[in-house]
Amino acid sequence: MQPNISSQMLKGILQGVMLMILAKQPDYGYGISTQLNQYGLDNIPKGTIYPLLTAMEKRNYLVGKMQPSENGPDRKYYHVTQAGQVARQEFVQEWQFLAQIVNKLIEER
Amino acid sequence: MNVNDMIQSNNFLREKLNQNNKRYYENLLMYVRLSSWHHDEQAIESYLLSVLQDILDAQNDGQSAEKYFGKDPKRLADEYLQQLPNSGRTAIKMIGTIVLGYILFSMLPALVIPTKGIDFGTLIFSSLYMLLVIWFGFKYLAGTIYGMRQVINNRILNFALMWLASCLLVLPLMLIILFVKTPLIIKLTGWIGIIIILLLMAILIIYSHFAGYKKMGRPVILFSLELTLLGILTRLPVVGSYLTETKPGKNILAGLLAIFLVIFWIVTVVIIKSSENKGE
Repeated sequence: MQPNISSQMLKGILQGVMLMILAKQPDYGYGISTQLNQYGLDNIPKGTIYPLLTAMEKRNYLVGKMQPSENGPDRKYYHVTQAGQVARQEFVQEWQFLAQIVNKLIEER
Repeated sequence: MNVNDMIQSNNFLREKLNQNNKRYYENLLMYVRLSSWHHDEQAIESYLLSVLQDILDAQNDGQSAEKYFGKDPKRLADEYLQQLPNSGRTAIKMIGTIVLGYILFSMLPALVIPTKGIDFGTLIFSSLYMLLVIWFGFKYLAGTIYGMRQVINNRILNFALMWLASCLLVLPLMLIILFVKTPLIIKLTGWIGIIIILLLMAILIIYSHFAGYKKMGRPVILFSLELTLLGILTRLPVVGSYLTETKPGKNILAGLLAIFLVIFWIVTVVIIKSSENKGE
């Protein structure tokens, strides 16, 4: 069973996760949500990703481009910018640092 | 894609939603549009269209809109709206439309009949009141989508309450128009009247172009131009006194006004019908 991740914790992490997903390949809303599900985040309401995408666009981490999709009309594909790549690397470092500490504490329990 | 294209696509694609998903999405759409009068229209419509396309994808994969988007769409929409900067253009468009529309409507008698004065003080007070009412109306309607609807389930009671609220809101407007008199009364007579009318029409045409009211603005512009013509005629030295002071002249004036109103009605209906046929 998946735990209910608190929304505060989720927001910070989800941004990093989305940057990692989009760095592999630009994608649009539903594509991103499908990938999140594949990584086990299927319990998260996907309405959460839209404000995050807009916030990341505002911070210049992402740039949205209208592109033809496989089926149907054009979709807004999100591309990671240079600033986004830097933010992604910082997230990975922060995550590894924190995970190390938390894992150590868990082991010592 | 401009705003109108996106709205058109949205109207077309929305029909592909199943009943439950359509209800869910249309509530979200109404809530976002009513809450976003001071946000950039392009960003809002782009968001609404993206969400719709994604919900359609989810539907094709056998997932409901609620399961996909979340159980608390109001909070998620609010989170999105918080990310958007305020847009002065959209706010000006909304305020301008209300105020200009109201002022034009209130000035109709004074435009055609030169001796009727316009009380600009009353006009300013009543316009401000109208803006206040519409502002609260939007807030109230947006609130009813995810709040009141659950509280008042009875449809008739809901309608009766809306009707009562509308009457209570219109009453002060009537009181302002009837009883508030200010010294700011201006009579649009003679050549000065003609110049002011022409200026007003220029403002209206420029504004409707700026606000992007292409198709739907046409009947109003046409009607205003017809009124401008009447306004000029009634202010011309010989023709004016014939139209406003003699009985046959008054009949001609009334007849022309009636014909213009009918034309306005026909043009509006034709434009609405052609928009419906194109699924706009």
